[in-house]
Amino acid sequence: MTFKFAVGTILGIVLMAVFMPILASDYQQRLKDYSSNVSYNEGELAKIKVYQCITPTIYRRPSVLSVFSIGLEKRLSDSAKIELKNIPIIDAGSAEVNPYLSVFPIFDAVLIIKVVIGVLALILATDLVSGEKQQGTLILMLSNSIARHQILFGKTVAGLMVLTIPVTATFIVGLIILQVFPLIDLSAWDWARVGLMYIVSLIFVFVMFNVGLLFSCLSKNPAISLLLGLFFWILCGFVIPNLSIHLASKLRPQQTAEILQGRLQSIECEYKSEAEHLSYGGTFSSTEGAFGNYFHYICDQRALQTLSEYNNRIQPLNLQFAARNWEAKNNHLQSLLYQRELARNISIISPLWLYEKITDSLAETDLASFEQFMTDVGLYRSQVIEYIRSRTNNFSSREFFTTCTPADYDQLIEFEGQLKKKYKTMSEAKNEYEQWQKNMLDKKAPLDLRDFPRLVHNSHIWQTLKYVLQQIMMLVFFTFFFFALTFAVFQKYDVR
Amino acid sequence: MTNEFLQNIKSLRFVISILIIIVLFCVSGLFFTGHYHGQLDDYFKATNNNLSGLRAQTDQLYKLAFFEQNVCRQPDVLTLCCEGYESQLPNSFKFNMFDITLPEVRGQRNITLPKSDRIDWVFIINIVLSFVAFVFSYDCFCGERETGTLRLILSGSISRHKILLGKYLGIMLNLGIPLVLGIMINLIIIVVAGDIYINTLEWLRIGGIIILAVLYLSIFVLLGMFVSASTSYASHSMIMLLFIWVVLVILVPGLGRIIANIEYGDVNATELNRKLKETNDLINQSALAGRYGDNATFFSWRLDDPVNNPPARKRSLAALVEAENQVYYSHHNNMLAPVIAGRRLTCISPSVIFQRASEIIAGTGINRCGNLFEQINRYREQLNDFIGARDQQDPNSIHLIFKDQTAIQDWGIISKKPVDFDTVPKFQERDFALGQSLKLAIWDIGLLVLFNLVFFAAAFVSFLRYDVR
Repeated sequence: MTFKFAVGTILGIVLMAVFMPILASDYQQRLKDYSSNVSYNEGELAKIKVYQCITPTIYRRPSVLSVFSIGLEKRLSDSAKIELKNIPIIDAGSAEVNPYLSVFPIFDAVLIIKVVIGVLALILATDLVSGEKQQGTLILMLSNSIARHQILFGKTVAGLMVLTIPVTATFIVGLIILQVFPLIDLSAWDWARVGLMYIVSLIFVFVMFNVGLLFSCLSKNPAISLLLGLFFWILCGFVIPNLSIHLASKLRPQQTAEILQGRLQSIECEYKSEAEHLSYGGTFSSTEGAFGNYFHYICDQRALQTLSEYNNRIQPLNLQFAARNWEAKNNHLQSLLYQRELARNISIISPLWLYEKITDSLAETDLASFEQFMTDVGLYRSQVIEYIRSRTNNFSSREFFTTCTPADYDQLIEFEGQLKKKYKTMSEAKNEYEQWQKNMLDKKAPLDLRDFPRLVHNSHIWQTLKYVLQQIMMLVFFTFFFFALTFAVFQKYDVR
Repeated sequence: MTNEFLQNIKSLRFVISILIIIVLFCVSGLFFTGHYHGQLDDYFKATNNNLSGLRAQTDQLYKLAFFEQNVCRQPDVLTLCCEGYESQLPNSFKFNMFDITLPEVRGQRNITLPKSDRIDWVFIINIVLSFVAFVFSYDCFCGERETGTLRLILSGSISRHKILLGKYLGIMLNLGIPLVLGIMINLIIIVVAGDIYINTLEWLRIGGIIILAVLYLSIFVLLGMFVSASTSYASHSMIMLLFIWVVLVILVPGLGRIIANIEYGDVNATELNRKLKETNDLINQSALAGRYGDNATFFSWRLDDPVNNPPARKRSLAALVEAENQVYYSHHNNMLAPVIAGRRLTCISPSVIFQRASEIIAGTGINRCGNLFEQINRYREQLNDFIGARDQQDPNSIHLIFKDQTAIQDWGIISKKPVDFDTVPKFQERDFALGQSLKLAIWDIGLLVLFNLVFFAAAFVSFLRYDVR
């Protein structure tokens, strides 16, 4: 129970106790927004009167563990609109709507462990060999018959055991505070991931400890060891991740947004030229329906006929061009991912970066979970389209675009005749006419969507685990690598 | 002082620090040079596009009014000192004579990568040098106490405050060497190898940033001396300082985003669209109700048709444009407000103050973006005046300039005469004047000085009472 240990542990716990409520309330707010969005969706789905209006927006449930590791959660879009004209793809998110916020660094609970406890591990370790050397106790110890490797093992094991305490305490405090929030509910799978996150945190702290120990063996002065250790920490935490991104953008320049824009525009032109051959006629009036989409509530016989043919041809065209648009956007995305891959490969040499990535994956705030979400939504979109297609005879039936039946139109004509007799001008009859419209719309029952497909969230536990395990192995490798180095250096350490 | 300075300069920590700092400054310079040239190319391409677009419109005055200009933020040399996260801030502004939209982020940006900080001077000073300041100062009293030399010094006739001042100046000089050396190498790379021109005003600003850096680092040195004079063991002092550093430099700046989110909530596009729709509905209703005159919403292609009321139509459309611009304008302010508030609430950390002050002195970062938006708005008004004045000279126009493309063809609301391209006002970004920057930064400088005074007093008092036994 040294002074440094006390300060480090208390600081970690206090910081967690102060910041966790802020992070949790931020998450709670996001969760509330998510729930209100979902219930809006449900409400609108219940109001659907024509199939054309089915354009729900699917929201990604904010990950509860984002309080620990925020990752790309606010950087990428967490929603996707299901529509015929567009296939969802990963895009910039809501936080990017206010780009000015990017002046602030990211803050999450893992940062406390990465920074405070990581530094504590360095401090504890850097003192072990060079500190004892300076005090002269190391020479005493070695003059006994204990072998060097035994001393090193002893020091390492003791150090690791000691470091388990602040990590555990910080996690427990964080989790207790998290449980206080009424809306936050951790499932069994969440607990498992928190458990894994805890283990990974321990491994990370062990890496930092071994790095400290290595520097301790490299120098005869504990202050210098600590200095070296901290420069290593700054290098891994700030310099390497930033440099890797700069390097990647230099070596693998991404496809510019202008190219994408040009491509999309040319597709749009092609679409227009194909779509202009298709037309419809007749008399119809539109009104706003579910999800803010407009639909025709009055159509004469000709409109019914032509719109049916029009939709039968334009909607497949929409689908076809949606796929082409997606392809162009996906090409652009791939160039971004290609760049990202290089940045990843460079920064993998930094244990701090690796730790951050593992916790992101565990918190499901990494790119892979967003990709998975978009894939799920893409599949769901196909189901929805198939559903609409099968119900509307390939988008051609009346229910796809209108609530109006031929009988409705006859009624309207009759009603207009009555109004003409009653009033001189149409503006006098306006109120009565609007009332009639409203009544007619109210009479139309919403569509029966009981068998409407629902989005099934596939759980990707094994995929996540497989992905995470590789990275954990890498972190474990770092632990042994630095330990082996320490071992080699300590064998030759001059204790005089 | 000389003694302290010489002692430190011979130490290993000095050698390691100076090496690391110089390497970082070199890397920063090399990256900046490449990046800056690329940025300049993009900027000139975009600006030339915009100007040639503008030139193409000058054959008829009305086209000029409706032409959507796209202005880009000019790359600033001083981003080498303080990038101010500019690569992630909006840099593209689209507007025409009538309306503005929100600025956008254009160019090389990869959303799949976590956001990165540019390794600029402020980054190196803020994170690395502040830590080095602690490394130099953590043992200046307690270390000497442990070795017993402090007693020897004090047994001489030198007074305590002289020792304190001597140590302070010695450490500052020690820090000054890597700082100045690093900056010099960085500038040499940029000016000589990168072939980038820096004008007098920019040199002055660079000087300003160096002064800020000295003020900032001095806080850390004094803090280090204070802690060193309050503890008995160098190891305790180091640990305390390390944790102080972690909190002040790493954790507190990160809090800004959370504070901003909680105080202001998310400023999102849905909200903007809702407000735009509301405004639109409101103006349309009042136009229907006859607020802008009779028949404000009617349009028939023949101007002499009695159903037309051009002045009323102009009034209603002008009101709509004005109201929409107001919505965009206030939305933009709402986007800026959380950032400013977040920074204000985190300025208990000198690191945040230093970052903010350097951005202001360098004329980069968020202030510049906010200011640029205002400038664009003013330029739009200037363009309005110009087109208005030109329109007055044409007897064929009815001099009712409003945003309605069809009205131009059929009613001739704006002149269709050609204009001389050279007389058309063009947008030119103006930096804050140095005096203005200083005025803006004065609070931050004051705060930095205040921190210095407080920690100096604290170090002084605790050293006067320091038990050297």
